[in-house]
This record gives sequence, C-alpha cells and structure tokens, in this order.
Amino acid sequence: MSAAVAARPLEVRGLRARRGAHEVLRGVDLAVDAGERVVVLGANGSGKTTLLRAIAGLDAVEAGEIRADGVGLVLQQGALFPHLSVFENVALAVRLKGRPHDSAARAALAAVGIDRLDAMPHELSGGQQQRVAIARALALEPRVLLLDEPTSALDPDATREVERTLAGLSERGIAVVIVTHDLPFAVRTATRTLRLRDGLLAAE
Amino acid sequence: MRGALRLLAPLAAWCAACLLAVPSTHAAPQQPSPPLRWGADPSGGAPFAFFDPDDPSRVIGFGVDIMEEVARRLGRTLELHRADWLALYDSLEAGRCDVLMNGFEVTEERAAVARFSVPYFAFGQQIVVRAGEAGAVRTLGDLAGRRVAVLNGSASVDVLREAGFDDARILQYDDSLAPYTEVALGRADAALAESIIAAYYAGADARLAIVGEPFAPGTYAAVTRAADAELGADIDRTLRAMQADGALGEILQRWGLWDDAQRALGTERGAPQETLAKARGEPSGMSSAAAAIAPAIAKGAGITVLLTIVAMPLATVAGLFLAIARLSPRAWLRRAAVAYITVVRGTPLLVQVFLAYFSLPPLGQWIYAVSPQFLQAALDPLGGAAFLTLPPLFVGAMCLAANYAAYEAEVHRAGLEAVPAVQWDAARALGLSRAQTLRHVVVPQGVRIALPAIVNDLNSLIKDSCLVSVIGVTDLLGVCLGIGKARFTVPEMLVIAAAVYLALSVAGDLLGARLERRLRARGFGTLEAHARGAHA
Repeated sequence: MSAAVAARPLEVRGLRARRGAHEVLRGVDLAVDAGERVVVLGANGSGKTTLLRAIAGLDAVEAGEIRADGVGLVLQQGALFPHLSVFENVALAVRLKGRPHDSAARAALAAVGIDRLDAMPHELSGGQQQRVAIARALALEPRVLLLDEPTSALDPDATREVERTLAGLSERGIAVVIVTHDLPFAVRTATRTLRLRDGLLAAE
Repeated sequence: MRGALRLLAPLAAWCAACLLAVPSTHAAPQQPSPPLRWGADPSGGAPFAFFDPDDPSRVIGFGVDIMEEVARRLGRTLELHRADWLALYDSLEAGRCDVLMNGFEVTEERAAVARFSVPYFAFGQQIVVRAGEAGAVRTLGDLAGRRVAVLNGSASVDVLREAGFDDARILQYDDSLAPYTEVALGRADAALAESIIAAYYAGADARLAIVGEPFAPGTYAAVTRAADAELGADIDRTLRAMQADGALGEILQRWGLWDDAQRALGTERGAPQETLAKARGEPSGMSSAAAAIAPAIAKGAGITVLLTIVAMPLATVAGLFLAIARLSPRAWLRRAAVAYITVVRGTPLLVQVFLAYFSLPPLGQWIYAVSPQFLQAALDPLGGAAFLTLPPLFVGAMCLAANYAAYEAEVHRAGLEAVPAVQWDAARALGLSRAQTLRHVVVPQGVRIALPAIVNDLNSLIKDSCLVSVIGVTDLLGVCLGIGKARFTVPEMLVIAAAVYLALSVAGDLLGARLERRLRARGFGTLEAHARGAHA
C-alpha cells in the first residue's frame, strides 16, 4: 500500500464475540470508507449492539481484528449527561483530554445545528438530544462514528433532522456506521446496507 | 452550594465565638506553674460541684471551694475538667486531669488502683422516704423487700448489698437528684445516699422526709494517679494544713456541712461562718430564671450546631469515598470499605465515643514510647506523649463524623448504583478514565439522587450529637440537664431542650430543601428518566 492511499477508517476482520454462553458474532468482516454511511439491519438480539460496542472497545471480544482510527459512539437515545448543559456535555471529554475544548464544542454543535448551548438536556426535544449526542462524539474529531438505533425514540420530523445531520457528517469525510431496525430510515440514509444474521454480516 | 456556605459562615463564626467564650472556671493568670486540672461532674453534682442555679455558666459547690484553696496554696491555677461521673476515673488515668475530688468514697477496691488523699469529709448513709411514711421507717431493716433508689456506683450500693438487698430492689441512677424524684413519684420506696446528698436534695422537698440517723460511716478523699506521687503528697500536705488552720472547717460551715464527724477526722472548725443561701437545694421557678439560663442554652445549642456542621460534611465526603471504595474493582479496597462500614454500623455510637475518648490517650503514649527519636521530635510540638489526648469537643465531632460516614457510605452507594449503566458506557465511549467518569459523570448524579437521604441523616445527626455529652461536651442536652438538676427543673429543661432540637432540626431540613432545590434547578426534575435518555 503506498503512502498516498490513506488506510480505511474502519476495518474489522473475523470478529467473534459472545454474550454469556451465546456466540453472538461468529466472524464478522466489515470495511468502511471515509464518507460512507453503512447501515446494519438486523432483528432484535441479532448482535447489532454487540458489534458496535465491540468496535468502540466497550466490551471485550473473543477473536478477530479491529482497526479503527478514532471511533465515536452514539448510544441508544443519546445518553446525555443530565447534570451538564448542552455545551458542557460536548466539551467535557475534550477538556479532560487537555485540548482546547471551547472551539471544539462550539464547532461540533454548529455542525449538528444546535445553538442552545446553555440548555439542559431535558429541555431539548428528542431529535435535538440525539444531535447533541452526535456533537459530543464529533467534538473528539473521530474518523468513524457509530450510532446505535439513533431514531428509535424519535417522531418523523426529528428523524429527518438526524438524517440531515448524518448526511452532513459524510460530507466531512467521516465514516458512519448505523445499526437500526428502522427500515425506511435505513433506506433513506444508507450509502450501503448490510444485514446481520446468524452472527454473520452480509450485503442486503 | 455557595448559598449554603453564605448561610453557614456567620453561624460557624458564632459557634466559634461561643466556644472561645466558654468560661474557664477560675483563673489567676499571673501564675507560671501549669494549671491544676481538676476532674468533676457538675451535672447534678450538688453540693460538691454543680451549675449555679442563678448563673448556669458558673460551677459552684463546696468541692469547688476546697479545690480553689488547694490550688491557691500550691501556687497553681485551677482548671475544671468536666466528664460524666462514671468516666472521671478514666479521665484521670488517661491524663486528661490531674486530680479528682467529686465525692469519691474511700473503698478498698478503689484504693488498690488509685491513690487516695487524706479524707476531707466524713459522711454517713441517710435514708429518705415519702413524707407520709416518715413514721414507719427508721432503719434499713424497715425497708426489707422494698425498692431503694441510689446513685450509680456510690457507696450506698455496697451498703444495701451487704444488708441483703438483691439487685432487683436496688434501683441505680446516674445522678444525685433522680433517686429523690423517683421516691417522690412513687417508683421507689426509699432513697439511700450519703447524708450530705440527702440533706441537699431532700431537705427542702416537702414531699420527702429524712428519717433515722446516718449510719455506715465513710469518708471522701481526693484521687490522684498512683504514679503521680508528688502531686498526691502535695495535696495531702495542703489538705492537712487546711484541716488544721480551720480553712476546711470554714468552707464546710458555709455549705452547712459542719458536724462532729468532721472533728473526728481532725478538721478544725475555724471561725464561725454563715451558711450560704445556695447550700440548700431550693426548687426555683422557671420564669424568674429565663434571663439567667438563656445564654447558657444558647451556648449549648451553639455546641450542638458546631458538632453538626463539622461532623456532617466530613461524614458526607468520607462516606462518598467509602462508597466509591465499596464499588471499586480492587478486591482489597472493597473489603476494607465493607469491614469499616460493618464494624462502625454494628457498634453503638456511645461505645465508640467512650472508646475513642479513653483509648486514644494511652495509645498515643504507647506510640510515642515506641517511636524513634525523629518521630518523637515531630510529635513534640503536638503535645509529645499526649499527642492523642485530644479535647472532648474534637473527639466528639470526629466520632460523630466517623460513625455517620459509615451510614453515608450506604446512602452514597445507593445513589451511585442508581446512576444508569448507560452513563458509564457513554463516558467510556468518550474515552474517560474510571476516575474521570466517577468524578464528572457518576458522582454528581449519584449525590443528587442521595441528597434527600443525606438531609434525612443530617436531621438525625443533630439529635445523635447529644451522645457526646458523656465525655463532658457541654452540648444542648448537657447544658439543659445540668441546669435542670441544679434548679430542680429537669422536666421543664427537657421540654426546652426538645424545643431547641426541634428548631435546629427544622432549620436543617430547610437548609437541605434549599440545597435540593438548587441542584434540581440544574435540570434534575426527572433525573433518572433523562439519564436513560428517555424523553417521551
């Protein structure tokens, strides 16, 4: 590989993971290019969340290789920190890493179209909360962004807001992996759709 | 928080002022020798040492007068060390005071472990019954099978046992007044105490009658540590001189205690003296005294507030660290936290206070003795071998803090565990370390969840703080009981104490509610739902 060709932001090979006695992932391969929006479909319990948590490094895996270059994870329903304002939610991790957090947080929030910096999470709509959660991951400047069921609690208008935000991320060259069982959303959003079935990932 | 601090700062300043204003009993500041620290229990201690009914900030009594004269003749100032009567001997052994003079009867058992001075007073046992039964009782034999009230740990207990009374009929009370109250109320049939106590407490009470002649003679003497032979000799010499030159006889006359039994001890009567008005217990009204007792109660309440505002924040912070340790991935840390919480919650606070107060001084002496020289040099500015002989108020506050820390640990654990797991995930996904996650994400939420329970514990700490009065801290209850016993108004003073505790507890609740509102104002109305990200 020549130096001129940048490595893919995310490459997963032969990933195996179990939840208890059940082997949920049985050799998953996944490669995502910059700017791609890969949607992973699958029934409940098919291992979609396990896959994202494994890539994000939250859970240990049994076997396989994960090469990820700056991963951000947006958990189901955002999981914002309820005691911190919108700005503080986004700035916290940047600040703790000792980077200039003010500009990073403002830029990330601008990228998702949120301007209520001093609002508390519970004062926002569901779609706004989801976008703040995306901004929180974005502020750390990931090359890969993983989203777990980003529309599960959203009404159609809020879902549209999130779709527009995700399209914007692709334009910035961020590789996006979304797991969902919201088929219409998947169809509108994905540049590539995969399905997780029997612990293996296959093209839809 | 800053609002709460603004509220607390003047309060703390006032408490500190109260502390500094606690009167040192009697002073002659030009003396260079170290003060003579005299151990006594002025709570219900008439006529030996008790709170002046007209000015409860003063301690008076014939014991005070004798000790003042002893100290004066030794060229030393007198410093009163207060402690519960039953704890006085331990205070002496722990080096918190140098001499006890508080109606200690000379007995063989006591003489085996401590050094008695020459006796300074001769007494007999005196029976007191209800006025209506005065004709029927003359001797202990007339009381066979009946219940007799006595002062806990006094010689009267031994006298009754020797006369064949079984323990179920010997009712023991912690202060001198209670036996007479019990007889007057009918819960005991008679009271037996040293004649001097009977005369003071029963002499002026029309419901009671002093019957028969004093019997089973005994003597009171001052007590010093066996090892402190020099002071013991000084006190013996001084008391003998006071017996011979009439100074002791004059003090006894002023307190209405002079009789021929004293002459038999070798005490000269001295110049004739008039009996002090305060030498006989006279029930006094509440209303006439409000102005006299209000400052003392305010000071007592100040001590209670001070104990609370020192102990509760310490307990809350220490409890948080214990809770974090309990949830730690490191097994040894978890076990240490669980062990601390189990032991502290499993033993009575009263026992902890006593143990800390009396075990720390000898522990400190031992540590000092086995320490290498450089460590001793480091401890010398802190009091040398006495570096763990800490003031009662300090020990009391630390015990309350250490005890409540164990309870707050459980409250915090419940709070931390109530923070949804997804918050941990979110923090980890952002690359926060465990410590960063705790500090910035989990603890702030857990504390808010735990806050109502913490405020509830603050409320109980205000009242539990009264337990430290056993080591001589003059807190609200201690002050009120002392005044009540001195003025024969214990029930009234308990009602006042209850009212002030109620006011403090309501103030604590208001402060807590304010704190909760402040934190909730930052978006915590439905904390758990939002932490999970639900917004439907």
